[in-house]
Amino acid sequence: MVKSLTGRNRTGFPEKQGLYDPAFEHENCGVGFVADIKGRASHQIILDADHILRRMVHRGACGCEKNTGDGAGMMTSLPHGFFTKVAKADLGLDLPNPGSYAAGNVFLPTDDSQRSLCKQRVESLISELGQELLGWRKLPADPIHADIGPTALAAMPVIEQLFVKAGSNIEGDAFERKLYLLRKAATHAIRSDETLSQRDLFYICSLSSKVMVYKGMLIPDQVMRFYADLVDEDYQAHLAMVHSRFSTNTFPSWDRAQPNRFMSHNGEINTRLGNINWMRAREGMCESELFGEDLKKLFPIVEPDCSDSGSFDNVLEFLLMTGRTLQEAITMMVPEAWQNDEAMSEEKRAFYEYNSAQMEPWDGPASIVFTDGHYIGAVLDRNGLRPSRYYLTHDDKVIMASEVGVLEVPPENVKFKGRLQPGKMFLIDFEKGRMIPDEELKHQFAASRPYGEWIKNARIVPALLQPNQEPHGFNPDTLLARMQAFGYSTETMQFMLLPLVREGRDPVGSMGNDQALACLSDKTRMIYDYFKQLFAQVTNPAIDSIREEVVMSLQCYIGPEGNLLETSESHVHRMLLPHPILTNEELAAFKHIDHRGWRAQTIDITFAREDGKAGVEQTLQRICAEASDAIVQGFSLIVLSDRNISADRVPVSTLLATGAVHHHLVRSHDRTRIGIVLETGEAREVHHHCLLIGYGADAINPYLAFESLFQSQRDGLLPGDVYDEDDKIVAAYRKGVAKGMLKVMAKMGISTLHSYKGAQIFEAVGLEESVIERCFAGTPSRIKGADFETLAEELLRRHQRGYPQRDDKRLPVLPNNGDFHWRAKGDQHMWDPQSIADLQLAARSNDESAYWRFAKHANEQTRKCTLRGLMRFNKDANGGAVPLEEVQTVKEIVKRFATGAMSFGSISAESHESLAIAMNRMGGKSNTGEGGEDSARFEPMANGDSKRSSIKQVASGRFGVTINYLTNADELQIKVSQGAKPGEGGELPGAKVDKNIASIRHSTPGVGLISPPPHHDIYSIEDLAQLIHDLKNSNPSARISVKLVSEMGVGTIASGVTKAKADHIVIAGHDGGTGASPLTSIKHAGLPWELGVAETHQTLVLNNLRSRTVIQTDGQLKTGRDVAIAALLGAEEFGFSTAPLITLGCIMMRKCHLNTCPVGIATQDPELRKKFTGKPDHVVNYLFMIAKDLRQIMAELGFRTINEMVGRVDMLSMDSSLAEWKAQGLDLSPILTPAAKPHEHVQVHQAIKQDHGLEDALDHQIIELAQPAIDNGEKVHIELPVINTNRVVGTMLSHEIAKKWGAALLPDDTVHIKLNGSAGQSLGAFMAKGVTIEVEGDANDYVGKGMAGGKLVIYPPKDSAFKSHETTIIGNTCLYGATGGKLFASGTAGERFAVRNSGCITVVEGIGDHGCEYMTGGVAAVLGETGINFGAGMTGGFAYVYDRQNNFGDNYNHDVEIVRIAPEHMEAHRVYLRELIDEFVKETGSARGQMLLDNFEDAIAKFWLVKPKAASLESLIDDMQRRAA
Amino acid sequence: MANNFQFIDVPRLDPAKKDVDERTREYREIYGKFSVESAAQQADRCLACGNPYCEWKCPVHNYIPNWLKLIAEGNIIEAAEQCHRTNSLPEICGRVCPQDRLCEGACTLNDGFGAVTIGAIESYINDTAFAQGWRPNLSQVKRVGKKVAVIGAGPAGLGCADILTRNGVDATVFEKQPEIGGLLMFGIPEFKLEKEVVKQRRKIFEDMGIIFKTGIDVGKDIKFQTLIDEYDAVFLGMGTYNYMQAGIPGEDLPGVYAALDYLISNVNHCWDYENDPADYISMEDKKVIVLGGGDTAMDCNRTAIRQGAQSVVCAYRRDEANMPGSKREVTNCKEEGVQFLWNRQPIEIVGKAKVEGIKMVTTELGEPDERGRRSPVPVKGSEEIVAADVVIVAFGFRPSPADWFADFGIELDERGRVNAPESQDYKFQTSNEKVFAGGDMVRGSDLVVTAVFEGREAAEGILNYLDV
Repeated sequence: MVKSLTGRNRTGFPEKQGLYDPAFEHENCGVGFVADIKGRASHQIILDADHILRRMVHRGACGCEKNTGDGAGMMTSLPHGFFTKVAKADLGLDLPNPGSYAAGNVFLPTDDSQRSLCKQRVESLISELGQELLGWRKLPADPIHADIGPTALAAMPVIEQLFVKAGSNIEGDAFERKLYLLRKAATHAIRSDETLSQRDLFYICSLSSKVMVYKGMLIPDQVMRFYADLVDEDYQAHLAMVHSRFSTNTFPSWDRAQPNRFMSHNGEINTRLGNINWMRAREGMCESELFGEDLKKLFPIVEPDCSDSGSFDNVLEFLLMTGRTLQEAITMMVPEAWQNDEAMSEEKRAFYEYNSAQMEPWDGPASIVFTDGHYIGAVLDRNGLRPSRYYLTHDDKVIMASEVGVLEVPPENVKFKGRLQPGKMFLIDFEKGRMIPDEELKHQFAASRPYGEWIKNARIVPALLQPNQEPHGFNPDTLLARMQAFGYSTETMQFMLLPLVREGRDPVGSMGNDQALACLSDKTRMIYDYFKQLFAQVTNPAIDSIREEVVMSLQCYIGPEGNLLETSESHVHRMLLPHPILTNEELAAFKHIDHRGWRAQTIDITFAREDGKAGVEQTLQRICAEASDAIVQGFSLIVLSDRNISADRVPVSTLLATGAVHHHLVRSHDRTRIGIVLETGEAREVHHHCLLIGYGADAINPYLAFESLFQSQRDGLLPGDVYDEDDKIVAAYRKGVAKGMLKVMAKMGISTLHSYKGAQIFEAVGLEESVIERCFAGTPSRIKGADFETLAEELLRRHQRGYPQRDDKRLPVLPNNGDFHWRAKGDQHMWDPQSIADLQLAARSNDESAYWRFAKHANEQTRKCTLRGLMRFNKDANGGAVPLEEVQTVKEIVKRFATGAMSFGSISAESHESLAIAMNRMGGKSNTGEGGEDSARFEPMANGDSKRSSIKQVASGRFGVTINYLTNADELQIKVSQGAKPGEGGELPGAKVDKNIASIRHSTPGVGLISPPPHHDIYSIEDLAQLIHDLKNSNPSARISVKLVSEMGVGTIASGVTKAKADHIVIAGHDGGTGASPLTSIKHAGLPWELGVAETHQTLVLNNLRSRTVIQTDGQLKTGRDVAIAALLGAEEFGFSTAPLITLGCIMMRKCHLNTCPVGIATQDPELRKKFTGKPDHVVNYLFMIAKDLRQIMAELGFRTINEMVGRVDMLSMDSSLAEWKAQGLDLSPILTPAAKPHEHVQVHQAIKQDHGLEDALDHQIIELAQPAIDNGEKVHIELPVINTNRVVGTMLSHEIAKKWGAALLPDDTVHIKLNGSAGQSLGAFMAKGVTIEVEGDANDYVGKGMAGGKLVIYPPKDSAFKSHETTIIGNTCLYGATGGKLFASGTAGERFAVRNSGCITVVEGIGDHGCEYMTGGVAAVLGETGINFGAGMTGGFAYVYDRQNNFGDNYNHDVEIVRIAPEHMEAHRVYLRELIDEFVKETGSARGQMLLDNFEDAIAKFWLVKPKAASLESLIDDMQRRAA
Repeated sequence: MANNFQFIDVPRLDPAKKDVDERTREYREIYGKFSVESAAQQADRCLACGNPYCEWKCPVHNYIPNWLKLIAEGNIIEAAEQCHRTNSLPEICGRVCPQDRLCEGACTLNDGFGAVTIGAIESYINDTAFAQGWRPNLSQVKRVGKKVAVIGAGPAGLGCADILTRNGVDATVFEKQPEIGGLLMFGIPEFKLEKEVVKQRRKIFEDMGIIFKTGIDVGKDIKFQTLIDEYDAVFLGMGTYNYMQAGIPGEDLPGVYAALDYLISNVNHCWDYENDPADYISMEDKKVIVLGGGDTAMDCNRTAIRQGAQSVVCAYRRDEANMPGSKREVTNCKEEGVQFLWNRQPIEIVGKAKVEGIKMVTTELGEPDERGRRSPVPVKGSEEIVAADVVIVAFGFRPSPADWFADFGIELDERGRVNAPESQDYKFQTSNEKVFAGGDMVRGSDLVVTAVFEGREAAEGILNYLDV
């Protein structure tokens, strides 16, 4: 194949190059449909669908060309009338009756001969399958009229419409199956035909007798213009589904547009890789009477090169075609969170449990709409992470979309407005002509078979097994040797296992991981250390596994699966494990199981020491063979055991063994025939267990971890009164591990262990291909590295520790490798005592010679610890040195420096302000971090200094994010992830929340604060685009920055973020610091910035997006050399955090989470703060010295400016002579690959300003009308119509008010805005005090987010007929992070209402799940139903809930306490509530409110007061009023 | 264990010192012992720094935070094991190390909170473990059939023999003095290190299998060639014994003594090792002037006090802040009645037939030199004479290479130190491949703990050389 300049292949996706891999691409979207419930076809449906599509333009994206979109399309029912007409006209063909022919649009090669070859193949397959070709119709597609952009045009296939007639005696589903077979067979044959250079252009959009798909690389309003068919008035359908795609790239791809064959998807499947592997493994077990031998022609079920949605569609249609209904198949793939739902019926639970024995969930945010022509429906993921709103009308239409207001419906025609709730489905049955709600639907499924009975008969649970076998207990005599041989150290016990048991959670630490990468270390490291956990950022959200525990589950069926295509009792003849960690007793029972045909085979994974290094690969080979053999012999479980470890027997790593066996069995399609259980001395930490499960293990018995803890208990290290029995230690360990594993899964947004299993959510750093291929196939490992021989060497060295060749080498104690804390003879760390001492001397005395000493030592440590350490400068590659005086000055250089985000709260006021003053003096930027900032700091100081941080961070906790805060920023930074703990939220321990901090963060002193893992308004890329838009509106002059963390695919994410209009992107390294995080995260999540920056630069250049955004990097930058390398890899700005803190006195105590910082930095303790001796000068001195250092390097390399350096990887090469033994196999060439420019003039550093599209904002009109209020505080009344594309109404106005009036803003009600219609997203976001917005109609997501004051009043149109308290009026995540003001909505709100509210007072008529989560202040009165998990993590404020159905008891989270307000002593609350409802009714005219007032004495008995457990009942109202004042 | 603020709530506490009257009447250690509780409490003040500066600063890189934690948890035996992993003489270092300049000086808490009492806990751990009967367990060690001669039973030699024997190599230690320990035995006074401790250490080493041949002066009593012939390798740990002279007139007068001679004579006297009672140098009823500001000077001061000197004056040419000796020792001296004359430089010892006094000038500190140290500059016209019966010169030591080194190709540097660098294929190998050396004779006069470190490291070099 001829490669073009950029190495793009035929479909337009560039090939894998450097660090870019098309496999990393993501997409998020907007979806919708409209249908006639009675099944009446009309052309109006098409027009309505088109209208919906065009109203969701902002949910899609386009790249560097405004007229090249990411993809859009429409699926409709088959327009028989229209086809009859055109078939006759164009082909002279008389179409047979509907149902006996199929049609479909086919993408074909542009090359004539290749195209005709493809068509011939299809034709011959048609006849092979006994069907009849009717003809190919040239599709009238008009790229000129549609104004298709050049990129899309270049990749456009020829599109023809295929008509196929059913063979004789074939009809209905049988015909559909033939068509399916035809489509799969043709696709497999053509797309894998190497002789066709354009083979990837071939794609069948759909081929069905029921539905049609028109799609392409279009923007929404091009669809109708491009496909003339759709405009024809004879094109009539009873349903039309539309999709607008937002992908993370600008590469043309026509086939990735949606709808797919039966569904469209908005969201992301996080577990895709595991799902695909399992499907592949399952193919071996699949048999279908419907297909017989033909079934194999369908394999692989999941086609290669599919997006996550495409893969989902592949499996969905497979299930559909093999006998399930679409809705049942969907329910199987996307089950609701049933495991912890105590209110769910037995029958339904049994149905879900039965399904879980057949297939793991496809986990991740998903709003899926599906249709096969008979039905149309929609389902939402278990977390409710995508918006999904629908209308039913009196004239029998259903309209469903990601937003409301996409199609205007006269109020009097609206019968019902609703939203899809987490895990719920709704279905329109066209035959029956009605909507089937979730309950009815699920009941149908559940009642169709005796699932409960089957489970009872067939299921095996561990408790059923005979506990008769001797469990391996405790052998103290050999314990030490075994612990040593498995790599235990004193730190394993001190930092990991003992705290895990004592605290019942994954232990916490602080500061960053500065230890050498495992592949660079000169010490032996556990193979687990080579793996980095992946995490969700931007395209999908992390989950809060603690506060949203209800959706999480570790429960799994293990052991042989049945045939996926059948449904029988035997399918549930599997073992149900509630927890993946097995006790010794359970393991013993498993090993000796002989229960209803189940037997287990133990496989020894040790080898003879004399076999030496070769033993590892030999053993892997042997155990794979033994595993296959066990299947042949009919065993149900294999137990991979390293129990035989001894002086003569060396175990291969359990992880290698697990991966090797799992992948061996996946390849042989046998994996689902057997369960893999581990008996391991090696695994002990949460990260280990996650890896083992992630690479296919079903259950783990970590016997040595147990033994070591038993010993610790005997040594008095675990309190004897608590752990008086070993079982209690095991129980505590399991609890801690469970919590830790859930958190790791949640980081990637995965809720169930079942989906996590085998999903390989990891990247390897420094493992060679042969290792990956054999044990971890599919895992990215981009820089090669250690091979089996190196890993074997590490294993043998470790084995030596426990079983030294000479006994005298035996240590009498555990070694201390210094993995966490530096040790003199331990592993290398970047910050050792020497470097800290040198740096402090240099900074305090402004002593340049001390700086050079520091830099020399620091660079040496960098060599030992990081990838950049192995690089050297190609000094002459740029034509040699330039005179120093020609290089830009240090003063210019330091403007590109910023200090990292460290919150006031996590660090003391002294340290926070010192950093700000220092950066302001230099013209650099300091960052507030996520804790807000005292508005007093916005004013300059008397001496000319300023404590104002120019970067204001907006993190998931939204602490102190008010309009005044946002207005006083030069840069607004959205922290999506943090280097030390990507995918995690944060916690500020109560001890650090003093009065001052509490007031800035709008919370209660002494009460700990939680930042959620996700931003609750960013669950996908189009959500991020929305938040960027919101913030830009809040301060149009600030640049908007998005902080990401390096991981595989971050380049792709960054490209999506750039398309979402970020002006600035931070790529943080994994080694950044934190005030508190689980050690698992600090150590094992995220990647070095070298990889992230290089990948981002390469990907952005490839997409021609690099010029739109600034790239900044941070992560242990210490010297000029570090900065130079960062620039050469692609960054133009640089962040520093740890080093500036060290100049201020930090000595890397790693005690930030304890509040005991003895140098007064990471503490709020008044005594300790007195010890702070830092000065802004110290920071300034140091950063200037770095700039000087950098400047010298620039001169040497021949660069005059930093911009010239950006991305010049040709100036770097790898020097293996710098590497320690293990690192010899590393290959940095992917990092050092020059970015490929799509054309010559592409700019490779930021040069073009983003177009934020602010000029379209409704606020311009409002501001003009409100000018008297802004200028003089005069009262103003405005009335305007509003539609869903009018987003962020009121925010820019609020910015103008804050700019003029400062923190005081305006008196209430100064500007009164009345809007009529459906308001777009983020209505009243960050709204200022003094503004009132009244909406007659409804609104979308994020109403009142971050509002600081003012009033929002929303009520249905006056002539609506529906009941407001049953009707969704506002969307998800309303009042997120609000700090004040009022919201009254006469109707119900979506999920996560008032999440992180810290001061707003609100009344609504009902809410969805997770209401008032993390609330720290304010009042919420809910006058109707609430969803589950109300009040999780709520630590302040309070709520009233009207519990008419008497089920609130099941719905609240036990973080809060509920109290009746009827009793005598609650008088104050009754009075207050009544006033509140009174005000609500006055504002909205709510019927529900009026009803309550009318019957107040009766109603009051049904009200609950909800309050944080710790808050005192008496002071609630006082506290609230005091704070509001 | 649960109190994160222990370091604030509980102040630093040293084990109680005996009162001055009592301690100046005897040659016994002046510090009391921790109780189990107070040791645990004090150990628990440790913050477990992410970067343990104590460990960094410690020449043998003791796992200090680890054993402090073990003591806080009450685990004496494992703590003793940990102590012995990095140090051959932990109970001794706990007593004689200048902790305020090393671990405790580097302790994070030393900055305003009071450093953790590391030294006292170190000796507490090992004393207690020994008392409980714990001994290094070498039962698993197999002898490898190689033997090494160690010359000098001082800290370097002992460190070396310790590591060799733990690795199955037979170590025979030759010592010219009648007891092992070198300066530990003879140089350091008993009020800092009771000699039973050294004797106990000898017993421990002997039980481990180390053979000591005391009273044998290699080169005189046995030929070095014999050792070369009979052993697989030889380690030299012979120390530095030449004292630095003052280089001023009157230095030859009777009544002028070298510090070490003086200290040794006192130990010999107390322990009946004297060849001739006349060798005993007593300060009873004398006016004593000690010149110098290091730890040896402090030892002389305090020994003289105990011998019943009429007065003891210590003169040092810089000020108190710039003196090299341990601050703790200066305090002890002051408590015991020593007077200090700071910023005094001796220019002549005066007297006719014997010492009668010493002429000194006052000094000021000049500009810092390239190492940052400020040199004293005499102030004109400030000469004075202080009366004295005895002058003890404690200006430090210079190498004292044996005359036979050259015969075996053992090269020296320009200052007389044996050339045996740490960084080379076999650490601390001399220019004679079979001969290794460490301690003061290689690096010049230094601390006990650095000598221990070099002896241990040299043993690693020897093990590698012998391919063990």
